[in-house]
Amino acid sequence: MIVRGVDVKSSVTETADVCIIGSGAAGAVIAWEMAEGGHKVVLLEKGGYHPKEDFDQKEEDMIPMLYKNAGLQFTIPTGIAVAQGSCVGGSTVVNDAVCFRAPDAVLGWWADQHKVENIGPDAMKKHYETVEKRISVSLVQPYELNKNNLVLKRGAEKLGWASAPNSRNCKTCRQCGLCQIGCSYGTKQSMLETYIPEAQAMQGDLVKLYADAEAVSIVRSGSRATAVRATITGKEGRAYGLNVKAKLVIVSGGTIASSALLLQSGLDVNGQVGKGVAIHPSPAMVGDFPEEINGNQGIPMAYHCHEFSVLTTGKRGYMLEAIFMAPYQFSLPLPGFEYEHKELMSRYNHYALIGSLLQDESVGTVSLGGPLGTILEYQLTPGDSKLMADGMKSAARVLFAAGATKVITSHRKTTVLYGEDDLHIIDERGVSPGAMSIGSGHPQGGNRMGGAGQNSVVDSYSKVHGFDNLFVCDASVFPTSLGVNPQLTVMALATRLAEHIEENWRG
Amino acid sequence: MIFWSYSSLLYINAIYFPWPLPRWFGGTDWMLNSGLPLGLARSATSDALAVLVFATYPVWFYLGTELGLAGHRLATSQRLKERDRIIRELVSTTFPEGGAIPPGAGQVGTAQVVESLLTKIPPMFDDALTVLLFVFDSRFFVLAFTGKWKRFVDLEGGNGLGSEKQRYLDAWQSNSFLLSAAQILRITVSYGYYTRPPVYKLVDYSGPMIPDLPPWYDPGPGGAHP
Repeated sequence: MIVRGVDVKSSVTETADVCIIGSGAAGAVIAWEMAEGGHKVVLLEKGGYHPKEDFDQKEEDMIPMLYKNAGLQFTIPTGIAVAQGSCVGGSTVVNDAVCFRAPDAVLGWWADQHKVENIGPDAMKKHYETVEKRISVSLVQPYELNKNNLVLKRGAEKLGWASAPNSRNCKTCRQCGLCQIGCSYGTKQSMLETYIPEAQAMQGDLVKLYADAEAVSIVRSGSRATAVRATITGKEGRAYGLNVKAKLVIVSGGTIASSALLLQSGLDVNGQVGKGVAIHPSPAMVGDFPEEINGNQGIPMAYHCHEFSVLTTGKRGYMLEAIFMAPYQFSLPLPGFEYEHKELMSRYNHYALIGSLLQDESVGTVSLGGPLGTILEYQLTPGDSKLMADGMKSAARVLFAAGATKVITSHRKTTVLYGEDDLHIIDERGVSPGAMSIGSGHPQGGNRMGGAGQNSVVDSYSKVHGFDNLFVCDASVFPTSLGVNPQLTVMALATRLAEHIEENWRG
Repeated sequence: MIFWSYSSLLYINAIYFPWPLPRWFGGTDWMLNSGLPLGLARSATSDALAVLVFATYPVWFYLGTELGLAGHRLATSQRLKERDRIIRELVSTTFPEGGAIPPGAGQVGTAQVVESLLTKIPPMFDDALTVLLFVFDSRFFVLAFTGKWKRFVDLEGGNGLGSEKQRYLDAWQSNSFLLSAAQILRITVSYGYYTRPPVYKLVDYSGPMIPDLPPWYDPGPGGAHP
């Protein structure tokens, strides 16, 4: 049963076995798993419920509808735009359906340095397999690569760099190129098309999902979380109280919202909540080609180059990923304004775009305050800046190798490279958020997983230290930056947690 | 009572006030220096003054509430009118008529789209954006960046590069202290321009296709892949 804010006419009290906050990659998976085990679940989602019939393929309508704060969320003081979904299904509704398992090296760091138990590739394999099957993960086929993706493939192959097509959670993709504003055809196997409707279809009405419901605080009694207090926003913005009494509480709102909820509930038990945040900052490099690339026609993210990624090197690095967007989102990394920006945008169909996803150090923090109620403070470390510069240069080399006549960097001051001899300009202009427009879609950390004394908030199975029945499960539990697109790992961790809870369920 | 208690706890440095910029060193510093480099420190005199000021809190609270509400009631419609004027000037400066994509922001309804966006975001953020627009428009900032005691909306505009308005906008975009604020303005304005059909059609973007399939859809050999 899905209850929207407009359906509510008065304050509500619910009693459930499990209350889950957030219906994205983690929350939806856990809700289904718990219901499968016969437990009654109440799932709270701050965003609205919008089935695919609501998706009209217009950026103007979809961005305010599906993104947190209409996409206007930034790091302080660096001004990096951090995009997150805010709707039933969370970011899985607006992501590019890219699926990677966690790199073995990263899982090794989590086990060795952060003392997370049973997290190695072998232990995680069954959880990945479970999720991959349920969301129909498959490898992009050669005929599905559009010219934008083929630019990355061609360039990487010319340079002899390791590269491969992506795996995606999509069935019979219609290649419309609009994954980031909701899949109108319903082929992307987001939570909206898989776990949520499947949970709803279960007999016994075990999962009750409240949309437009923002968790405000978790009520504590000793070492137990006893209830979740929320507000549900109804017609004309009227807010009603929603009180959920539950045996288990699982927070799955993502790095920013989960950290904020623990902080505002006074549950920063060891001073670590909100610490250790990474965001995968990803500068865009735009290659200008003589021929039409038509990057918006086809799957936006279907190919990657992992030559310099932790996947290949076993060390922190960066991944080059082909990506494309509809005009508004595409315009954001392009420099300048007025006539200059128009001139640059007029070449939209001749551009190929490569993003360089940086596996950054976890130095950001989430705290309470500011007009949005939360503040994400974030800076690049000197090591991050160096890696980011390397990533930008590698992206430019790929674009030139594939035939670009010039490459536009995302520096605020228009910076155009005309060949590899110009790569030094990137260093001269400086690589910092102050000098560039940088985007991010993968906030991680904030409630890190780890052994006691490891600067962690939750233990190896996502249970908050000092609590018997309070869990956090989403990307906020990552002890370090993942280095690859995170949705699959979030879902696998959710499956792992559900199994752990089920095995230890005492009612 | 809450205000009293909170202020007192801040003053004695028992709690910290989270705030993004600039960074205070603690509650005492926040109460005494408000983030400005005044260098004030606690002393017997400051303690006495604090007691005096705290004792008069109810008066300030009453006056602030009454005057603030009166001002709010009087100024809401005027404030919105002024805000919309700032938005119109800002979008017209950012995307003037002419150039490689000829329609200007004024011709494609950019300002209306931005105003509509403000109704779709959380009210607190809407308020913050409105404040940001007024700060952007304020004589103080215009003076700081251009040396002219004028509001942004009163600066010389026109379609020429290098106009006063354009130079002021450029100054915001390149100032490291105003990074986040400038980014918010830029993204908001771009949203109102590039999402408009007359604009995106000029860059050969097809726009919505549903309920049809994309013309370029390739089902692959033997039909759609599994």
